[in-house]
Amino acid sequence: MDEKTILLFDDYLQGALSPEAKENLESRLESDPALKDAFTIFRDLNGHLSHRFSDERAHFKDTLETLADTHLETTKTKKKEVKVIAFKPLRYLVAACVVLVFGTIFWSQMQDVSYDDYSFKGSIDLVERSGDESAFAKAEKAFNNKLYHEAIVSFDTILTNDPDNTQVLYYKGIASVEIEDYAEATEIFTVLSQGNSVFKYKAQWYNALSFLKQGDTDQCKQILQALPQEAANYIEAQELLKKL
Amino acid sequence: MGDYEVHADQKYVKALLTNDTKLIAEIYSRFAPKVVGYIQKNSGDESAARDIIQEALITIYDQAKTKGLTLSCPFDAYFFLICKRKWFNVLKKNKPEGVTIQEEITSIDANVQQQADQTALHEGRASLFNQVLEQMGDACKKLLKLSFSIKSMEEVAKKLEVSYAYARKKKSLCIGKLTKMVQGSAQYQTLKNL
Repeated sequence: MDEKTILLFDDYLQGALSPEAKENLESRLESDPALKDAFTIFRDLNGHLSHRFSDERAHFKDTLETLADTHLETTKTKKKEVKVIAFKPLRYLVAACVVLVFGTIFWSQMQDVSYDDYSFKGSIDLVERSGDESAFAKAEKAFNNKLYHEAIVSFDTILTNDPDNTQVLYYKGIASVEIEDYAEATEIFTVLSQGNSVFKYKAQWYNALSFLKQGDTDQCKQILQALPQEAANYIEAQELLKKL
Repeated sequence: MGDYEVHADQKYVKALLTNDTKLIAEIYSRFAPKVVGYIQKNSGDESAARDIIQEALITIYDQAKTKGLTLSCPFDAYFFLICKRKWFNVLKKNKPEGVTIQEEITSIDANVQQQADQTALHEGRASLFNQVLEQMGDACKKLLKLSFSIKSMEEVAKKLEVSYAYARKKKSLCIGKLTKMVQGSAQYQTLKNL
């Protein structure tokens, strides 16, 4: 398979061929099994890679992790409850006290639900090369070192050249929450949640967290309730709603 | 594929595709305990079972997403068979001299078998694709990862500081190279003849 054929395959998949060229390739594929074999692999590889690196697949895996935590843990807890039946009466009392003490601690912790419990803790990854001096590199470095004011300056440079970069806009939103510029944060998250990027629901979720940080529980709840089931943070949102 | 009827449990496949948390939770509550029990009976523990369950669900999801998956048998039996085979492979890896599996002798429905075979075939292809990607040079690997995670080739080009036309052409050529590697692999020849 030569370079020309590969580029032809790609144009075909992108829908960039003229009707004649398209027909021509299709009839070649019909009559040449080896070419068809190569084309099938080429097409399937495209499908495979685009799926493997998709946000959707990452969200799906997140869902599975959360559900496995709940469900497979439940099985464990059930087993422990069965053992309790064998306890002597006095031990019941001790057990009850322990439950009460831990329960109280747990309950009081639950009441103090804060922004920090849910805020973004990972590091962002905007550049592939180290030693890069671009605005992307500067923004990434500043953000990951929690120098949010500095990060915002670099984010703005990027956004001036590329106003549609939703990933950078989303990170700018988070940085704005961190420096307590809530008005800016909400403006950014609103724009993102009205758009169609992969940050649509993440932005909505973070907007809720921004209100949580400001102590505006009502507004936070309202936004969380509007978060649809397909959002990656849906389960966390439900958990947070219960605690509020 | 024959023109069999679609099983009502197709709803679980759809749930995986749409990330329907409520129905996926049902898979865990209804079907996972059987897998956990089976693995515990066969020298595994709950955490091993968890890994197998996650892997099986991702495998099913991957197939449904990239190739389509129409269930003609109950989800329970299909899912259980996939998990069983995965666990058998784990045991075999750790103990190549032979594995004894304890199970009640029940006949497995041919339909279930066929559906699970198809999934295994799809998984084999996907894992071959991943293997050849790993063998690629760093430049191609990086370009492909970026192209497929960012989607906009303009953005990819900007990030790599190359022209748009170059990034697009290079991406196609990298996939062309992968295609040749797949064609040349012994595994592909085996999978093709299955």
